[in-house]
Amino acid sequence: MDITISNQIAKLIQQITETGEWNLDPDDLKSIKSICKRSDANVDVAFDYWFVQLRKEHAQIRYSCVQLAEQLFQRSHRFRILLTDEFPLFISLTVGGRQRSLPPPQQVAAKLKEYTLALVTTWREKFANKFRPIAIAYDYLQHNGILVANQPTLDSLHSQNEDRANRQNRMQPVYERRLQQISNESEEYLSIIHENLQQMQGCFEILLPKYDDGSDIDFEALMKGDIESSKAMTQDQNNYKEELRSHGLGSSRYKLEIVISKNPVADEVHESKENEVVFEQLREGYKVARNKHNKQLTIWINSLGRMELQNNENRNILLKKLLDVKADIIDTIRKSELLGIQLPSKEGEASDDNDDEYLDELFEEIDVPSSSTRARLSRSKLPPAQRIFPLAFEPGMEDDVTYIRTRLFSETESIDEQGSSKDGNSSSKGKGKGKGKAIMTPDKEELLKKAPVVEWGEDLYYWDKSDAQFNTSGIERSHRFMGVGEGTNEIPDQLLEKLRKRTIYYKPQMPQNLKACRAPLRSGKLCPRRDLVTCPFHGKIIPRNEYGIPVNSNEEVDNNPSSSSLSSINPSASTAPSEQKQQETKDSNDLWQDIERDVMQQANQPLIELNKKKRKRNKPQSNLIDVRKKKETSYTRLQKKLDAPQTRQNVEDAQDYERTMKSRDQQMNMW
Amino acid sequence: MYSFLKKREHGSLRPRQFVRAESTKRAYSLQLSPRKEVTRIHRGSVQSIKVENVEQRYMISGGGDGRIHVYDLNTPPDSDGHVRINPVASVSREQRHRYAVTTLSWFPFDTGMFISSSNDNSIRIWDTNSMTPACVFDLESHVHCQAISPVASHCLVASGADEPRIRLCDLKSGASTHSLTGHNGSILSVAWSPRQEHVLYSGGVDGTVRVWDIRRAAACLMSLDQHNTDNSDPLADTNKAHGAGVNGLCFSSDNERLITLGLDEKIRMWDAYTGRNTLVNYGSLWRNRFQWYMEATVSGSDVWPPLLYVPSDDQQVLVYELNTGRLSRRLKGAYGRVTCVEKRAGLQELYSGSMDCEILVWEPEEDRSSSLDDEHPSDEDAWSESEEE
Repeated sequence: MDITISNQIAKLIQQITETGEWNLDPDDLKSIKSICKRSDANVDVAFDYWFVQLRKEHAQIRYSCVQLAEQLFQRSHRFRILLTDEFPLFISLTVGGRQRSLPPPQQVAAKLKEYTLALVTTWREKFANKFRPIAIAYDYLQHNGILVANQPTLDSLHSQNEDRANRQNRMQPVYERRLQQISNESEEYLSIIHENLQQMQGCFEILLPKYDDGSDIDFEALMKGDIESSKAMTQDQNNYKEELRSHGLGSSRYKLEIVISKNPVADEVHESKENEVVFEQLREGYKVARNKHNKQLTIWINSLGRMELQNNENRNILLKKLLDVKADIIDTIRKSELLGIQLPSKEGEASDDNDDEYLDELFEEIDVPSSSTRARLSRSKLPPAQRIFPLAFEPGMEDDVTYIRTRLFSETESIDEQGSSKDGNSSSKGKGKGKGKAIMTPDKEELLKKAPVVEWGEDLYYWDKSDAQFNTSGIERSHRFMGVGEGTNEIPDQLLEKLRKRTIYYKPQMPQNLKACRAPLRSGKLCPRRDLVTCPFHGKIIPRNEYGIPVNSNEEVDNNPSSSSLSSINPSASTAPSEQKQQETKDSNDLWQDIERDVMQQANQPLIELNKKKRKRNKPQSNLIDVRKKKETSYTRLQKKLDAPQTRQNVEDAQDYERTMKSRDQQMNMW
Repeated sequence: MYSFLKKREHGSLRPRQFVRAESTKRAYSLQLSPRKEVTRIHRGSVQSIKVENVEQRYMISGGGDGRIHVYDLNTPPDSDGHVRINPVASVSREQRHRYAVTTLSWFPFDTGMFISSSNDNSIRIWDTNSMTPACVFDLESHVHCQAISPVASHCLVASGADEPRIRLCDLKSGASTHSLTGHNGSILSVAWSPRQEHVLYSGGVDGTVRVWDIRRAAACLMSLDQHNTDNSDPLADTNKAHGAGVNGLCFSSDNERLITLGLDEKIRMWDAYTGRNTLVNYGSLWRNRFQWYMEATVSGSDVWPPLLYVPSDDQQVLVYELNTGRLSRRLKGAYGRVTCVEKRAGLQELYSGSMDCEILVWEPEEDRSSSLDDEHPSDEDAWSESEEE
């Protein structure tokens, strides 16, 4: 037996059985047949490899094996002898027995069983006289109720298979053409849609009020009607109260009635003469988006969804793109509906058209700069009455008249703006206004640019003191034992060093309103959990549409207001340490590799490849279903979390601590 | 074959040697018989098969359904050349055993009588012609096996039941004569010595194999020891034949060797006279997990080197070379645990019964040259021309 032929057979058989397709690859099959035809020894080898494949715990492989067996059994007498010798095992591997069930995936296993039974029935008619094992197997299957009466015959199975393959073959070029067409059309069309969407977005920015901190109104929250989570509402109320209180009206004797309308946006934004143009444009965009773009996208998405292509990659990419755009359009349409924009009625349409033409003649399109239609609330307010001395780190402190920082800061700023040179000590010394006129050297100016601006404190008082005196009263004090001190009454250096330090209270800033997870639940609702970054059940919180389907796509993020608000929630602090750590390890790796390279060069040795083992063999593309992959559930995700080394470490630490405490307590009682 | 014939005619090969050569060749080429089949008649497992030794024509089979069937193995073939062996007589539904038949044996000198033991606590003696029980012994517990001496002038049936004593039932009087005590726990297998008519071998659940002389008052002669320990006491408590129960006993064709099958999945061969372990290693490929009697058999006296056929739990019959312990073949074909094998020594045929109700016929491969006349299409390759490269 030639070893190369043996290897060739092994490769071919593995290849043909591990494609995961319903039909055997005709080219491979042909080459296997031609090799087997040459000699019976080749058939022996092929049978061995075939049986190895048949034993693999995968229904798809077994299905392909049975298909191959059908081909060879029909042709080779040697194969018949070999197979019938192993018939009991063959039956138990392909039909299953009392102790042995068929391997996953289940739906393929059912097909496999059906197919084998049909095959055995056919073989029995043809070969049972010569090969007793087939007759025994048939009897066994019949008497154990495995062979049911209305079993599909082999011919019907084959014709089914052929039908399926034929249909697929016929439709393949049609689908391909359609895909090409859609991708071409959509390319042009998408740019138009994007333009329209951007225009509408611009209109929203113009129309909608802004808040003091400059953040956009939370459209998402408004659309949901989720009043509590709306930052706008709470802040609005706060401001209102503060405003009242700052004017001295805040008192329990007054009764305040706050009416919250259902559609706050429509309440605040009205169509007026000023913004008529904007509204007009918005209406136009809305009409197009709703009547034309949305419909066209729906048609495309439907026809793409129906396609059964051999490689779905292109289709999937296109489909995803279209779906994203569609989600955007729907989003925008909802927004404009919130603003009270509706499709013009039939009667009004004619006049509208006239107006439009007239307007088109009169006005050019101008990029309207985004500005707020609403006056900002002034910041200069009286201090809140509720507390006498707010703490330094509290935001209310800035409004305190007795508090120096804001004024100082603004002063220095204003001085800088005037362009005159200022004393650098003004910030560090606290009150540098008097000496501010002193002329400064250019390098000091440089330093001043870098110098941090900090509030005045005790530490700054001691900052440049080299010898601080204490007990400057002149009265001598004598200690009971040590008597009168003879020192210089100076604060020692290390103490001075300590005095120069400053305590800073760090206040972690919790985001005010967390976004809900909104992943679809089995009950049909959306997940109401509000977590910082990740929901323990549904993973990372991502923007989702009203059905809970994620709408994220990397290139659209910038246009999407919802996702931008998400990124503002994500605290950068949480990601920073891990990045830093990665950087560190990378650095150390680089260093290690540098040293290694040097050493190897000196020793005239080839470099050791680190990633040699990690590199996986490139397996041929296969459609085999991965049977080992476990289904990912919320349970497994939680399990993974719990099994993480970090968590384990924490638990261990806690246990250790508890143990030590316990033993300490015990020891305390033993005396 | 023809060269052997020629040599025999020339006188350079003695007839005995010729027979031996030919039967050995046949015995080593066993395969599932393509023409002969035993009709599937049992419902439930086939527990025991026996071929009578007088003319090797009739076979009895006992099943898990409590029924016993008699077959004529010389059934003429059908018109299409197939031999379908149907039972010629069966135990009627009323008279069958209430529970599974465990072992069967023919009366050694006549086909008119056979003996069966069953889980319904009885041993029955049957009249083959009327298929009715002539005599019933009630043993008050499950009978694992029974045995009748193939050579003895006495007509004693030894029984191994769920009790620690062996009872000897006398066919002449219809009552049990005496009992042999010595085993701990139930007795799984008994066998009479094929040479000495008063010597009995028995294997119990305690892993011992005991040799008895039924004439003596202190009947137990010795207990076999797998390690061949040198001690003066042949009945030492430490003597163990197997690590677990012994559920099969059979003799080699020259009657000098005793083969025991243990639940520890070991096969051991002993010198039947001295009781010493011959230390042949049969490997660990054999499966035996159930406390049922296992009917193994050794090929006929003309086959040399002799073969040992052992039924196995993994749905196969294992064929060992008896003297070396080498696994020669696996006879695959059954779809359930194989419970018994029986040889038809004259024709080198083998019958095996299994849990899937089927009795399989294994026969030597036909000479291809002799069957040239009836060429069947399924014998040929059917490659099409287009499959050439």
